[in-house]
This record gives sequence, C-alpha cells and structure tokens, in this order.
Amino acid sequence: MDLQPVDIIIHIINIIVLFLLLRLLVYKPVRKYMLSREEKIKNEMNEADQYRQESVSLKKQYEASMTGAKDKLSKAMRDQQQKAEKEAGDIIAGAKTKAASIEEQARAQAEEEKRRAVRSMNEEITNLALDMASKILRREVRLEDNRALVDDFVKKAGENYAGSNPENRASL
Amino acid sequence: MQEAILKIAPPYDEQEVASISQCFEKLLGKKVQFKIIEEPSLLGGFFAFVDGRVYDYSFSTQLSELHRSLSD
Repeated sequence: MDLQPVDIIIHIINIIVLFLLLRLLVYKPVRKYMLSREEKIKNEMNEADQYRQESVSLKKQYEASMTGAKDKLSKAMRDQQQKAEKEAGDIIAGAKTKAASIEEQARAQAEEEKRRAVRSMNEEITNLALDMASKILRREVRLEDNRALVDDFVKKAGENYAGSNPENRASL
Repeated sequence: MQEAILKIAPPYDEQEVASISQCFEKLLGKKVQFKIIEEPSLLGGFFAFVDGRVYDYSFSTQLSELHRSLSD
C-alpha cells in the first residue's frame, strides 16, 4: 500500500472531522455524564462522611450508655451485696440473741426444777419423820409421861401462865 | 362454877385430872368443873378449853408445830 501525501491529509482531515463530530455529538452528554457522576460521587462522599460521623457519634453514645449501664449495674450489685450482707448480719444477730435467751430460759428452768425437787424431798422427809414420831408416841406414851407433862404444866402455870386465846394455839 | 372442857390423851388417871383442875382453880381463882373427853389423837398431854381460852399442852400440837417449822 503506498501512502500518498494526499492520502495522509485526507486521513488527518477525516480524523479531525470525526473528532469534531464526536465532540459535538458526544462531548455534551459525556460532559453531562461526567458532571453528574462527579456530582453523584461528591454526594456519596458526603453521605459516606455523614454516615461515618453518625456512626462515630452513635458509637460514642453507645459507649457512654454502656459505661453508664455498667456503672449502674455494678452499683446495683454493690447495693444488693451490702443489703444481703446486712440481712445476713441481722439474721445471725437475731439467731444469737434467740439462742442466748433460750439458753437462759433452760438454765432458769433447771434451777427452778432443782429447787422444787429439793423442797419436795425436804417435805417428804419431814412428813416421814413426823409420821414415825407420832406412831412411836402413840405406842410408847405411858402414864408417867402424861403425868410429867401435867406436872410441867402445873409448874409453869405456877409461874403465872396466861392461856392463849383460841385463835393462837401456842403451846406452853 | 366454871364450865370447861378437858381433852386428855390416854393413859391418864384421876390424880392427873385433879392436879390440872387444882391448877386452873389457882389460875382463874374460881372452881372449875371439867368435862373430861379422852382424845387419843393428842398422843400425849392434854388440851383444855377454859373461860374462852385454849391451853394446848399436847404432843400432837408440838409435832405439827415442828412440822411447820421444818417445812418453812
């Protein structure tokens, strides 16, 4: 293929015409497209930026509320702990006083029972002794004994014995 | 004549009763006529009720007093 200078010029002109044609036909829409794309990108960038900021502030909020929640939780747990400890302390103290009072009651009761036992034993011994004495007297008293009693009375009466009034049966 | 009651524990004899009456006569300054009642429960001695007064000189009383003092 032999390239003549004319051919070359034609070619160049073709290219230029093509270019101009293309520029005319294509340039506006492409420019428009490019502009709108640029616009879109810018918007998206802004949106992205906005989202990022929002997410950052959300994150902060979230963190803040989390720490708040954590504080609240640990405070509540501490309160609960203290309350439980106090209640436990009260229960133990109550149990101790109750135990002490029960022990005291038991001791007092034992004391009382002992006293009662001793008293009733004494009572029994006395009754026994006196029963025996009266049985012996019933059997052994002789005339002389009675006479001795009377003589004693007469002697005492001699010492100005004043008999007692009926209510007070004091013996001589 | 002063009416009186004399409860006395057996065994006893007239001599005892006589000396008791004599004694009361001396005490009260008037004759005393005792109504004698034999009272074995006295265990010993006698119990006289004269002129509204009680003269208790019996073992049973002394025993019960002993009982009272022991069980206090």
